[in-house]
Amino acid sequence: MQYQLYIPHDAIQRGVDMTEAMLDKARASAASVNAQNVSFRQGIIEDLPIDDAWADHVLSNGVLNLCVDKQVVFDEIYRVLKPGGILQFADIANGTPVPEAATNNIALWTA
Amino acid sequence: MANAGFIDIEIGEPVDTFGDAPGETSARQFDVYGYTFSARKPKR
Repeated sequence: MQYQLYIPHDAIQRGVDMTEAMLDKARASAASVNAQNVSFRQGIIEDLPIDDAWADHVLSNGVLNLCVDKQVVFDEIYRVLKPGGILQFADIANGTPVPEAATNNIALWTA
Repeated sequence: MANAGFIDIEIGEPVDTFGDAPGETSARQFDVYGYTFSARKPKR
């Protein structure tokens, strides 16, 4: 990859999740290592509770595949990034189009 | 991503994230793999 991920340990970090349960876990994890530079907000990736052009870097893992409208998500991430800012994420993608019948078959999407 | 305005878009090689996992059969049916993605917002 072109970009080497380096975030200074004292960088201001802001986490976003849509559920209070996950926010509680994140806050507890941050507290367990006495992280002073991280805060968390409730919200959705399609409408981030983040100011325009605030972030130097946006990271995501395993979320975008769950979003119905990917364009809305990328537009929103673009909005919160500063000019020159970087988006990095890891996720799954299907190489074979999923038929509508399969999309509606929950058994195919769960273990 | 390009439609949003991102540039320097890169996609990593596929990773078999479902190998030996409970969802492996479903993943194989639709050719699902894990990928890393990166992109940059233009400076101006």
